[in-house]
Amino acid sequence: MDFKAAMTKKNYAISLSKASHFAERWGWDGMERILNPKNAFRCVHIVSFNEAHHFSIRRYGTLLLHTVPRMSKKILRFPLLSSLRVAQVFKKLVKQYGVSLLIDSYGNILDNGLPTVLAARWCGIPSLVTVQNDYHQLFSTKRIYLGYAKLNNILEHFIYRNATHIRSVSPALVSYIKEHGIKESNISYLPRAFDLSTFTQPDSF
Amino acid sequence: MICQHSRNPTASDKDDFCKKFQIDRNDQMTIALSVAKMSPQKNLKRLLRAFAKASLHIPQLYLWMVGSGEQEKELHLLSIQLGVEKRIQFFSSIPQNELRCAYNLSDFLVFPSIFEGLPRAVVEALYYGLPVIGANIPGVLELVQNGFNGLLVDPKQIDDIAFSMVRLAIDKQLRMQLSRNAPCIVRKRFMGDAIWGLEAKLYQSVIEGHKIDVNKDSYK
Repeated sequence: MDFKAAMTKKNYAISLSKASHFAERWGWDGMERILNPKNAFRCVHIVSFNEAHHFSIRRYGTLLLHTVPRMSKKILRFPLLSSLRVAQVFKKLVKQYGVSLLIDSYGNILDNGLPTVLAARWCGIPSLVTVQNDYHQLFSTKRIYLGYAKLNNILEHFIYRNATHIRSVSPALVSYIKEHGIKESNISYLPRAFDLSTFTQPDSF
Repeated sequence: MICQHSRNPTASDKDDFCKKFQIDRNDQMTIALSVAKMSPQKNLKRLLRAFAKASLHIPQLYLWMVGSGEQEKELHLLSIQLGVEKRIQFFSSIPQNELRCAYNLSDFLVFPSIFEGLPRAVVEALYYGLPVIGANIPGVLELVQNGFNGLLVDPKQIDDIAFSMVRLAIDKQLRMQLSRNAPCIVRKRFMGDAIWGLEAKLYQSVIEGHKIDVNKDSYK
């Protein structure tokens, strides 16, 4: 693709709690295939916020990696605090690179969805949130501190109400999202793409 | 950090894997595999109890548990309490190439989660031709068809899980039949290329504020 055509493409930003895990699992090539589907975007900005170390690679193909400064484990236990930090990084990216879309696609909805929605509102750009679990049940299985589940349920509801669009990876989760009062037209069912090219079948198949 | 894992594990990869974890894998053994984060959601305590029951009937049945998490210590302790610690191999988190060896060397996957979105471990196992003992919950139901590519169980019934493990361990022919069907659904519905196209379309539609029609015309 020539330079002119490439420049007409948009770019987007995505938050991943630990991008290094993602890269270790799929490799950088696989990560680019997954995060920049069909190479449709000029650049994908990855905000990796739960990283204790610095990356040896900051740029790989169309992926550009950003970390969140001063993110301690204590802060990570409080979704509102950590989200504000990540949202500030998102805000900077929107200004600096003209990011057109903020996406939460992998991991816990609070860790990734909340900063996505907050920053998108601050900057006036669209956001896409992915629901990949029954969070109501998930929060109730964890007892990190008193009121943890209740607070998280309120924040989860806030995320759904404020996201421009919601993606569900399973049809069963569509009705779960609808229970939060979200219109069906704002929900798309699209399962997760599995990069099975990094997972070739045994010869017998 | 380029991915070097896009090939099938060779015999030497499998040997290295067995050596690393000091496993003596022979044809007499039947390996049940669990690939899951060790959290309450994954229902692994019940799995251990079910395995303990099943292993009373099938002495050559072994369980490999891949994954780490908050319940790791508890599960180790429980395996000792149940007296099955010698027949369970805990792998913690392993890289993709070793996970491929684990899939390759196992006979079936057990996935008794209480609730799920779309479990990646089940998709990978099916793609790799492993029959799946899966919980009859949304998410797993989209992947596993009872008697076609796996067996469905009530995740809260230990006996149900144990019975299915015994059934697959005993009946090699059933295992082979389920194994043959296993990759079909994954090939048909979850291959990256098709979904990535729709994903790109969805992202573009959200950016441009168009009405999104991914549900209607493209993905079912």
